[in-house]
Amino acid sequence: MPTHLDIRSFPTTSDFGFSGGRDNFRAFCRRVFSAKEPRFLRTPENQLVVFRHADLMLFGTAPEVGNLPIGRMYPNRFKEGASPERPPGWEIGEVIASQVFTFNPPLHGPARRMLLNWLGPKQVGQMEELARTVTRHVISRIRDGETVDLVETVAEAVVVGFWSRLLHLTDEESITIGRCAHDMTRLFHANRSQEDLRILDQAFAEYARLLDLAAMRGLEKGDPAMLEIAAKLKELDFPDDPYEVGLVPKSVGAVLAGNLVDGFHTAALAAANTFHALLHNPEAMATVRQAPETLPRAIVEALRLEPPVLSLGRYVLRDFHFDGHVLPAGTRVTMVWAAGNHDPSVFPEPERFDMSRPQTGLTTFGTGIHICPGRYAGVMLTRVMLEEFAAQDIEIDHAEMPAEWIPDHVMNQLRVFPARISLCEKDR
Amino acid sequence: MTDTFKLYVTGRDRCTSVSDAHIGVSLLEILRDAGVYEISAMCGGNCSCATCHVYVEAAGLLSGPDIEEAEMLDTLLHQEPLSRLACQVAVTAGIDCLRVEVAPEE
Ligand code: HEM
Ligand code: FES
Repeated sequence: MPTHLDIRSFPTTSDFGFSGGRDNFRAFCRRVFSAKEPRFLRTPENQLVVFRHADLMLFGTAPEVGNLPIGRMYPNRFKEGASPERPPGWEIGEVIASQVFTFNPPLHGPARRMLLNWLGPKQVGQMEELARTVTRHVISRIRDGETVDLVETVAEAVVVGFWSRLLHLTDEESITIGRCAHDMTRLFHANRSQEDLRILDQAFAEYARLLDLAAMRGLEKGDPAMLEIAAKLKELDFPDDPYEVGLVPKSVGAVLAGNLVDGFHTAALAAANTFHALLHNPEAMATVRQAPETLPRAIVEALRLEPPVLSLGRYVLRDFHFDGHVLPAGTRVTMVWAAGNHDPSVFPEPERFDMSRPQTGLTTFGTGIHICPGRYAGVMLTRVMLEEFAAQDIEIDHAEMPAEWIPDHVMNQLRVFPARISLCEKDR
Repeated sequence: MTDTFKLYVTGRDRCTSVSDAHIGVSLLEILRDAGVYEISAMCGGNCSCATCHVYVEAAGLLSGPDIEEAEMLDTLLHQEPLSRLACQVAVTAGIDCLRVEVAPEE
């Protein structure tokens, strides 16, 4: 007889010193992986915490362990006779309800393919020139010898500029949406305050308005990608089911807004974290400068070492039987994806930057049918930024001010990363 | 009719190995059994990650990709006429030799 997994019997993540954020993540990994037990942890709210590599693979690929449906995220929102008042956080829900992150089968597959048809590796390859143009423009604004914040001045500027240009936004709109994306960081605070929710509501409402405008413009101009999304959207014929399957997005603008939250936000973390990992591993930096063909491997390793996403939630759709246990339907699960990359049973000496280690089984982008569909775009943007700095022989060095990571955060996110930018000697 | 066949696998290092393989549920499992570990199959065989992208020479003997697999293949930079997702290829009786090449990573 399978036994119910007793989540309350597991220690909490804070028993192992983890409250979110990069600052205590590494110490947490060292402690929790020093022994074979416990197999799982729990959050203070008694969500199951999955952190070992083998379990991230097992749970991540199990059809029973799906996405958290929007109606479970906002339980009062879809009730009969729900109050017409919009409580704090409402605008976030408006956007997130169209995100594949809240979909499960049968809506999930076709909705996800709609995104991949736009952002698959082949399609992203065709966007590379645009990314280069934007990056060159961003670099041209930096003066020789200047100390800049690599997060804001480079990573966010390129990422926001890229999506803005791709989606026909004006320069002014791009500045506004960049501000919204910056504010969206609060979405990932481990404990969101009322002030966070207020700022997030404003940011999400403005961001959604701009992406609606972008979609309408794209459709008017006959942008093939927007027309394709519109055509695929029409084929999504599923009744609304907020408690399990999800809600079909109501417009192309809703598809864009829902699914580009990570486009505008998390993609910038990938670039900033890669810069950070390389700057702290001068040998690796020198290798990629001398042998540019090693750059893709270096980025994969940098993102293993500094994965942008520390943890994300999943939801048990049907009783999940594994190894003699059963995890009941309705259980919320926290998947600490970043820990999978630091599990020494799979990645020996996990804190060492080693471009030659095998690169299979990384959990940077999740696993299973939910594996990140935006990963090609995120990695391409990071690669183009590094290639352009190298092509222009620009050196990036440590500045006097230290980099700062955001504490109590579900992302591995730099708040600021000051660096000195200079042209190489030979170009002066 | 036998339930084994000759499997030739060319890895990303361009080296080819030969083994006797058993007819199985999917080509992905057959490759795993044959010790081909460079395929990470991150979605667990669910036609969602394309990390099991291979080129298969046996076209006529295997049933072709369904619409989901075809759509996924269409997103790949390294798509070729022989492209398949190993997790979606059913290897059934009647095959005596299969040549598979692991596609480059996307
Ligand atoms: C480059 C840095 C990024 C990282 C580290 C990252 C990481 C992740 C992770 C860990 C998941 C959860 C997968 C799971 O539950 O198994 C995910 C899902 C997702 N990501 Fe990303 N992501 C990134 C960029 C992006 C971008 C640029 C986009 C959009 C353009 C995006 C869109 C999504 C969507 C829509 C999902 C939900 C997929 C599903 O449920 O099928 N991500 N991502
Ligand atoms: S294993 Fe993911 S597509 Fe085949």
